[in-house]
Amino acid sequence: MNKRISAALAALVMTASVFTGCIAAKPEEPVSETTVAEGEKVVLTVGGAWTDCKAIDVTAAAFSEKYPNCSIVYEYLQDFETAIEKRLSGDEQVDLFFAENIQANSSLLPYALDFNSVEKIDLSNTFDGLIENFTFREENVEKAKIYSIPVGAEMRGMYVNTTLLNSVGLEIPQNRKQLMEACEVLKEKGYIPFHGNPGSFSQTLLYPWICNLIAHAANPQETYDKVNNCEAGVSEIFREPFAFLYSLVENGYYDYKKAQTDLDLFNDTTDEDYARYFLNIKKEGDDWAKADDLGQIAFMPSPLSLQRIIDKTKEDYHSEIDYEFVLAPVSEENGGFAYLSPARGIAVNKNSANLDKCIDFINFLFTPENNNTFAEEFYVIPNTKEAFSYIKNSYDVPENHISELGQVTFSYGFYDIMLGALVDASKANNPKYMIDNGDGTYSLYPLDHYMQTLEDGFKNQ
Amino acid sequence: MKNKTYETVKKPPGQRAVSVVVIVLNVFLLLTSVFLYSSYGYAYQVRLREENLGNIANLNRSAAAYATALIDSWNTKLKDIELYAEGHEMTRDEALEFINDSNTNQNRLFELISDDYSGFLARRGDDGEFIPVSYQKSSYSELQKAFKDVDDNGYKDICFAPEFTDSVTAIKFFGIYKHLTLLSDNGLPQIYTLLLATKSSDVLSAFNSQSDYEEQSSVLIDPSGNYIVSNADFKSTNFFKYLYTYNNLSLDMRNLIHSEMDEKREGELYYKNAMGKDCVFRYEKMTTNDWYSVTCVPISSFRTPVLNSSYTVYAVLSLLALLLLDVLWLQSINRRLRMSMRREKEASEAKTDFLSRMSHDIRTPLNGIIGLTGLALDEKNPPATKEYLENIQVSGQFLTGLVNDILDLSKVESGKVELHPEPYSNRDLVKYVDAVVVPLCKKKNQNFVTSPTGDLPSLMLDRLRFNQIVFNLLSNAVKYTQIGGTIALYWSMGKVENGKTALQIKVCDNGIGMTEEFQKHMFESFTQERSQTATTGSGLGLAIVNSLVKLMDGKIDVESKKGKGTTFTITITADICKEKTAAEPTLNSDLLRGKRLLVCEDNQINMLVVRKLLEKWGIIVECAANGRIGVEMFSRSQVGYYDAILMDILMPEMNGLEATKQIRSLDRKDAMNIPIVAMTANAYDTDVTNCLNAGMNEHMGKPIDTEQLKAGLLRLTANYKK
Repeated sequence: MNKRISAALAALVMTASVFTGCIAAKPEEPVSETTVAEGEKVVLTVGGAWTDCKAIDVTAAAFSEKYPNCSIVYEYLQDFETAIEKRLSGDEQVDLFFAENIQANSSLLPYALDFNSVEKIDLSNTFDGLIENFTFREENVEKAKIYSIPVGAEMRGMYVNTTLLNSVGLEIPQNRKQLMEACEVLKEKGYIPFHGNPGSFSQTLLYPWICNLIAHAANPQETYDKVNNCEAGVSEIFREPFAFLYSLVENGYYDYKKAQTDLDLFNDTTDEDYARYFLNIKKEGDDWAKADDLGQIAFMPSPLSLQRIIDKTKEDYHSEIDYEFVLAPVSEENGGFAYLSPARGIAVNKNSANLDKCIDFINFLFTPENNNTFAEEFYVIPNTKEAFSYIKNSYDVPENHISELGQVTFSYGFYDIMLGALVDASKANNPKYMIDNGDGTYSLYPLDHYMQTLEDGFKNQ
Repeated sequence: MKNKTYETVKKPPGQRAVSVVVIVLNVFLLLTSVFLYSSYGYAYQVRLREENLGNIANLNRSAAAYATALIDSWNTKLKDIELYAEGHEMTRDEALEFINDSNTNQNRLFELISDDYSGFLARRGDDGEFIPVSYQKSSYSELQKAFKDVDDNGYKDICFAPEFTDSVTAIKFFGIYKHLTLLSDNGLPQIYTLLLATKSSDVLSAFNSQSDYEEQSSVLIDPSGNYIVSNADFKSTNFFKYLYTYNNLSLDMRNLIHSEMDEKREGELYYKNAMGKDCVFRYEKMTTNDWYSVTCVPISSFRTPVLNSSYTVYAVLSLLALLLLDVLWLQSINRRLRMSMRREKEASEAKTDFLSRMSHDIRTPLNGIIGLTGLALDEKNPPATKEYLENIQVSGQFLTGLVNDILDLSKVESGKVELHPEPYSNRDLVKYVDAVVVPLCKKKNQNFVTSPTGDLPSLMLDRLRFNQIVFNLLSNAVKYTQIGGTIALYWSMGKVENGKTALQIKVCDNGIGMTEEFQKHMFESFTQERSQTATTGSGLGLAIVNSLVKLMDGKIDVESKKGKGTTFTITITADICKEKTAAEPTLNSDLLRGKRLLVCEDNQINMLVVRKLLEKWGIIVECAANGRIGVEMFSRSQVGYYDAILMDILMPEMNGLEATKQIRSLDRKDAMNIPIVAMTANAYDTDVTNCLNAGMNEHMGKPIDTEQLKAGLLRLTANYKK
């Protein structure tokens, strides 16, 4: 009998539940944790150089879910380098903006908030090395300043077209000697082995090696001091990578001008363009289509973040080209050099009317969970405590080939000086920058010419 | 009895069929409700979708109409400027002057840009000069690219630029462009780009002014998906790229969307927006050009149409019908249950009444038989008569025992036995056994052995029931042990823990023993082993023992072997008595001599028995034939005239209970404290309680136990203060 009564009651409950289904349940409202959720609705604008920034949009959605009264809008600023300064100094200001390392010579310095002056900021979950690299230290000022925070980290390496290599009977080179031999074979087959826009090619290929020369020198502290003080002759420390670059250019293993003019490669420099070049996707009328499943680029130095775009492009255009991302095998021993560099800093406009909310967003962005999501969409390594261990866990690289950020962080713009000299050297076989022999032929300037450029860079910093 | 109980709860004929019908109806109504709700839900969803999509389509057209009107008005403005400037062969500065003078809307900006990406804003600065502007090559190329796209679509004389970043303020502007020819300083014609622009935020707020949905946003796109009028909610510079990027689409899918839009001209796309929300993207090709207006609305923002009342009413009625049906059904079940319980109760009461009546009706004549036989035996009789009288007395006593056993078993089975623990020592046990069992053994010339009488502590036991257990076991032992055999009674106590101890009683004999087969059933009622030589007994003794031991939370073990004898071991855990037991007073009937008792009894034989018994003890007896007479006699007597009253219960005219109440209610000094003793064949606990509640001091069952009566009267009369 009890069973019947229970069944009858269950039937009633079921019926009632069916009808109560008519009434839509009110979604549970997120609980606000800070002042952001109070008061009027606030819109924070984030300015950036990319037409899209899905990473920000995804993070913004999560932020708005937690703080319903605050939303984040990403704004693409055309001609970012000049536009951002105009916006920061004008009437319609952005609240946050993407900016690389803001140091003394940055035009954005007057507008950026010093995070070290904000009590509420919480960077406890970030990787100290990355933050340190973006730290601004003034002479005679004890407290360092941080004007932008890297949202993630980058790994420089090299994309190797294994389909192309295999087609000429080559394997992925493991060291410098094998790399040069492979280049020679490829050249003989009519290929230019190395490709990339000269603005970034050489630093992507060689900066980890350059950093390693300082970090793992015979006497690291002495070397560091020498570089930090820009002592005379400091450029000699870096002669070996410059010589290697010079040999690539001299032998025609890297010939950007010929690539640009004859092959129409690397005239455009977005990530999507790089992926298309590598996979030999070419414009056909208004559309893009794969030219073949072999490609014409064997080695393309680029950061790890490009990998997802290459994969997406490969999928979209049904490319059969196989590839691998490796640490550039420029070392005499097997394995390359690894260096974790800060990527894509974010800064807060110190004049923002919603400064408090901007800090809330930064704190939100740098929680491990949100930073992981953000970095995934941004294709970079998250700026968390585990950032550095990523290299060791992912690549078979000798301990003495890994440089930490702190080992190559100087009190001046070392990277810019190095970049300038490397770009010059990588353009060495462009007739425009060669010695005019007067008979219609051109000769390369000697290596020492570029070493002197580097030396002068240090001298004049 | 159990069979009878089942019969009372058995469903009436047709009840099962009703239950099935109710269950089927429940299921039917539930399924109907679910079906209706599902149908309604589906219809509701369809209607929700249709209503909202209709609204969104209208909003989309409104946005397109607004944009078209805006661009048309700007187009007219630019054409007017072109006609006037070219017609008057103006130089750049003259044209700037003219535009500046004719522009009445300060939110609109006009720029004249030359091929070198530099130009002037048609507005004077603080220095009185036209404000110079310059563009990056890349951004200007982007504008030119946009012009080309539009030109290819048949708009040769007007160029629509997508949203662009103003070179001066770096703020997003929306503009339209037109090429016009002005004269240069050297008098040669030079082509300029005339730009009319306003801040995107101003255009967008007007463009999206008709906002019916939360997070609704609209854009205009050209056939390639490039934004003509953009919106911050639409990411990328191209609509198809936006869907592709934020929905992780394949390129093939992106192209498919593009083709589908081209083919259908209007429709809906369902994708996520930049915030990851599921949205509907309503698109429609404009009638005036090849552009599309696209409006995005998150599905979560859809408006909810009003519920269809007929569905709701039907659903509620169905639920109410279901409820009513179930309530009626449950009431029917409850009614049958109540009826069944009442019948069971009535049957139980009938059983109790029957036993009570039987007990009373048997005891009453037995009282006379035994009592008169006892009296007759006291007389001088011939030997044969004496033997007959003794046999009559034995038979009467057996019959009394049988009635007692049946009554006890019935009480135990119905849970009506309540234990009344009182101090009880091993000396009490010995005394009881000496008085009751030893004479039985002597009659059969049997040896009776007991444990040495030590000074063991008293326990809290129900004296009556404990003695009953011991007696039943020992009397069985005597009964089933041959003449000259040995009967033994041993007792011991375990450790005292928390004021309790385990009392163990062993009753052993070397009698005929029991078969293993009989041992399995020996505690069942009316069970006796066939081969046993003794044929007397009801077969209830062991059943009563077993029930009483269980009632005392004890256990009973048996070891028996055919022809060797039997040992019963009973273990009962009881509280140790903290108070010392008072010495039992001696029952000296001389103390009763001269006392005056009023005896209310309607049965003349019983009256005779009682009177004779009391007179034997020297008591003066006055008789009343019923309760009413008893009350009258007491009320007429002087205060303190009677020393006690013996009161039968079932009497004509006025029963003993009523008579007692009336006596107690009399307004005289001795009414409240004169001892009144119930003397009745009603022997249930409820009878005892009823007697005490009526105001009686004690209850004595019939047949009268002379010793019990003597003891009671001695105690009550001694304590009675007149």
